[in-house]
Amino acid sequence: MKITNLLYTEWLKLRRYWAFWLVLALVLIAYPGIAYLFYTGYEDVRESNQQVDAVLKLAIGSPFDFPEIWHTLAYISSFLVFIPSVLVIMLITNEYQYRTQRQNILDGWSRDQFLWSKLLGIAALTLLLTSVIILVTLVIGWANPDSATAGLHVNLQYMGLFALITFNQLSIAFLIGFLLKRALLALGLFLFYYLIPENVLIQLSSWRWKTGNWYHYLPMEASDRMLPPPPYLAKISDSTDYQSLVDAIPKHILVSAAYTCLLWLFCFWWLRRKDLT
Amino acid sequence: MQWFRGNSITLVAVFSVLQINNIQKSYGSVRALNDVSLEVPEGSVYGILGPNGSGKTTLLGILMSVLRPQKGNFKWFDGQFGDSYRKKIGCMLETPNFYQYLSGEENLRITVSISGRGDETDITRVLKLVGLYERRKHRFSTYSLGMKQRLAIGAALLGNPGVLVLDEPTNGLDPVGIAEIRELIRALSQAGHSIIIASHLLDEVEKICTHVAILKRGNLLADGPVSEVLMDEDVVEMDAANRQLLTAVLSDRGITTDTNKESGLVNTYFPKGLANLEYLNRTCMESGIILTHLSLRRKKLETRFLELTND
Repeated sequence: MKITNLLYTEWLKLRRYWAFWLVLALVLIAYPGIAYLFYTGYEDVRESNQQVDAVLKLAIGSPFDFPEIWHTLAYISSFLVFIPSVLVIMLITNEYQYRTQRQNILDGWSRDQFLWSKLLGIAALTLLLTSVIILVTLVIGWANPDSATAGLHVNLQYMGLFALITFNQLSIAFLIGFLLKRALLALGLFLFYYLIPENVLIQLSSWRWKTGNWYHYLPMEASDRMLPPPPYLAKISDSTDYQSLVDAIPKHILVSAAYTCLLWLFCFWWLRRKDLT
Repeated sequence: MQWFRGNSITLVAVFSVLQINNIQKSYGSVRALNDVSLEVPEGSVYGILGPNGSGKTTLLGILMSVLRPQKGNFKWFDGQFGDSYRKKIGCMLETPNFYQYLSGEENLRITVSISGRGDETDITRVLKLVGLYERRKHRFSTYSLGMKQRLAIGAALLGNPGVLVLDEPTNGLDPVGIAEIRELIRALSQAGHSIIIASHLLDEVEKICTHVAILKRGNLLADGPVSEVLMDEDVVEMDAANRQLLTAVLSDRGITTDTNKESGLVNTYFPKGLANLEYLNRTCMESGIILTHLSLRRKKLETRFLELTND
């Protein structure tokens, strides 16, 4: 079956699903809104005092000027994945709620095709979010009077990393929805996992147990480490050797890609052997 | 494929649309299907009959690949469509499953997109056929149970598939709706469609099916043409002073008997209309047996069904 047919069928399922569009609208407002909030907050601080402006310029450079703005907004936006995760969880638990995943198979899709349709849906959502962030970055970058557009395309790779993080973490949200089948339960567990267990392990490991850097390879952590903080944030937040964070990006891309592949392979394996009741 | 002597001159090839071999399925310690094998001839209306919990829906679920059997296999269309065979089959399994927030028409568009069966014109055709055309723009969640059932039947009819699998198709319908659906099934059968129906209603199977398989607690008790499996029978009840001698005499003449445990009467069975009381009486007289009781009663289909499915 063609990819276009799978996507078209997903479109038919969603186009009158008002709850989905409402949440999507909120997502599409949230990303630019939060980027704008950071930008105006930074501008307000700068404009409040000339001395502060000078210190800020010296300490952190120009985070909202091209080309640094690509890194800044990709990094800030990468913390918002929990918002579109609601959409992904709706996308799969909806099918269980109405038993339509079973009907899709009865109507002729293979179980693999059903999962491919969801995977493509998540890929499309990732693409949409990345496009929105690119647009927001261009708008803020161009609107910023200090911004020089000469190095516009420099640092564009951070948008690619944002897309990888988003797809990876939305896939984790999908897995939880896929296994739990209930929207609220899945959302709760995803948020819990997103915020608590890995962070607790990381803090314990790095501050108390001092057991090396194994926690870099936890699913969410590895994903986050694909996109290190911009240099000015690393400078003021901790003493980690920034270059080592940058050097580790390819390694974390590989680890996250492996997690994502394993996650989807598990979904395919699981669905192939399960009874659809 | 099987060969049958159609009449005295020609041999007729009967293809089977479905072959099932030794299907076995358990849920924990409960055996839902136990080595079920059967064959569905092309063009037949094949009823899977059995009381609730007999394994009918489980069998259909396996045949439509939503359930996995532990053992056995099945083959649709002689295996020529591989895993995409479901696209050739219109199916309604258990309750109608549609997107609640979409209209009937929009739900059918999804069925068309997935199955590749039918188009916009066909959606209009089936909506008219199942009497939902006026409500086509209304959300599925506003439909009554009967309307939901009719939409599911409509979805199964999209693209005019050669094979239909219908699980309890008249569930939730009013008497008029039931009659309409049965008439529709007859018409589809006459047009050459093969139809598999699961039902717990003997009356339904008797009225619309050409073949039947009877399931009980996952075991296949009988299968074949309805006229053979659920044949009406003439039951002749007899009694004599010496019942043992009566049984022996009848047995010598190739007549099988059994004894009613409650009344003690000796029963013999004949196809409907073929019991000859005069012959039986004369045979007994010639053997020196004086019958003290001789009566004919017609065994109802329901009795036959209960006999098959009761312990």
